[in-house]
Amino acid sequence: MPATSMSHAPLLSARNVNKSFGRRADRRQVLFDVSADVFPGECLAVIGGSGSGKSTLTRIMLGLETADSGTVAYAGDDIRRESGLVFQDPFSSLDPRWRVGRSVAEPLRIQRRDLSRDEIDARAAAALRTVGLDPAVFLGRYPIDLSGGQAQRVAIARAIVNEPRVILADEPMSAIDVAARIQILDAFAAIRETRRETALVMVSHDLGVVRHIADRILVLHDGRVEECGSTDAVLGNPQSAYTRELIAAASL
Amino acid sequence: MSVEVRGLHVTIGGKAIVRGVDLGVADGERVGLVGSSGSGKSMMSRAIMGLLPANARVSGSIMVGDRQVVGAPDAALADLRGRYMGMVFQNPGSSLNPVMTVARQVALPLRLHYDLTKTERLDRVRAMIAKVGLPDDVLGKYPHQLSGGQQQRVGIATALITSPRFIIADEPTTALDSIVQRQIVDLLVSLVDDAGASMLFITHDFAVLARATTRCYVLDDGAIADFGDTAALLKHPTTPEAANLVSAARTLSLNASTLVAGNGDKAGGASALSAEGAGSRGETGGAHTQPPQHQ
Repeated sequence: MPATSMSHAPLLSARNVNKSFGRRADRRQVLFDVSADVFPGECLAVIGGSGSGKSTLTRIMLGLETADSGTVAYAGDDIRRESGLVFQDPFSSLDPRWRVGRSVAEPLRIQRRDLSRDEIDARAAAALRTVGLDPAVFLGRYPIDLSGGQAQRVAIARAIVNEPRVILADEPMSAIDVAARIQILDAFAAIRETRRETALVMVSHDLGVVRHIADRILVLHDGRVEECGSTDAVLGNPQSAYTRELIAAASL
Repeated sequence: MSVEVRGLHVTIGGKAIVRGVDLGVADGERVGLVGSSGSGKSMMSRAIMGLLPANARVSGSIMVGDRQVVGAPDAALADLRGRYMGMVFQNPGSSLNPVMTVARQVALPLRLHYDLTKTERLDRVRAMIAKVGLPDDVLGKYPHQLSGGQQQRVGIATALITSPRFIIADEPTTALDSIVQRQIVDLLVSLVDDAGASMLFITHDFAVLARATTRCYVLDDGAIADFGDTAALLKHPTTPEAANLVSAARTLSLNASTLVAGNGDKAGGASALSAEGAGSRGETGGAHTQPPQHQ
């Protein structure tokens, strides 16, 4: 997959991005001249510890945050309409008063006023099936009746319902128990099989999790790119001490 | 200090959360309690600490040293916790008081349970902060000025400042990134061993358990599904519940063989994941994880 994707032009391309937060004495730079590409159909894992800048970088690439300097190019129309987002804690990202069906359909109800109600319902049901949840069982449930793994898959269904060109998943498995993480990985694998042009950017601190899904890995450390390469290369022949430390931390 | 739990039942609002658990931690031993969310792990830890909600109905026996926790009056429990037990929680950001400096936070258990002069307290706090690997200048800082890993070090210092004989660590590393996780587990293990204390380490992650404990219990739906030597269970889990947790931990960890073999085709890797299926027990309600479609 990487070989074919890499021959395309990148879908997203960040160049020399710098970003600081806070002001005056509290000012802290979190990204230093970071460049990164995301190709159509690939899964790029952005890996690093807390405070490495991985969330900030990916949020800037998805247009959710602005860079202080540097550029982000998107080979499409409107990244905000053409992207789907998955966050760490599914219970705080789903409205507790809404049934699953309404949450999943929300992006379509807002963006696709041309679709009939039946068509919207059908697409929401299809999105749930893709992530391994039976619509007949789950459409009518409230978040409180879901396990963490189920709730996160609902959030993933919502992220894919408007057929985005890129999905950003920021630590989608950190808040989920180990046994249920497998189901989340399965859901992402199913999306990649059914929508081969959709790019997936996965932010994580855990190499053990992303090795199952990532084509390429970008390692960030203290706001700088430590290394970037194919999953096999980064895991099999790490170029930096920090990457080796990440590998040791993910080893059983 | 030893802990013996016998025939423990905890019912809350008519729902049986813990159903007849027997569990033992010997003096100086590090024991794990592992289970998925909802298996009753946290209620077990709250029961042992005597911190169950007021509407909980408890039967059975929990002996901490020579004291019975079940049915003990609040004052006796507070004394037991303060002098003999240390607790490390999952989220240090919310278990530390945001308006207390690190020095005051760590000194608090000493102020509440021991009669020491201010100087004596500060000396002990300084020594403890050094033991958990933090620089002296964190003493005057507030929790929000610390990283997650530093906060958890402060949480450990607070738990250990009274030299407790028994430590309960409830998912102490779950909120931390993977490198810091390992550092915190190693720190906790070495401090507990140095003190000759015993520890019950609660987690959903077998990989963490293997590093922190020598023996463990697998909790499933409020009952002990399996127990034994941690390393042996990791190699040969004997029950489906244990196998489920072990296979998830193995799938999500790196080891020499996966690195040598390389990852190959990602889609193929992912389907192996489904087949191991590991984890995916049938969904409550009858839905099942659909394996990815292959061409």
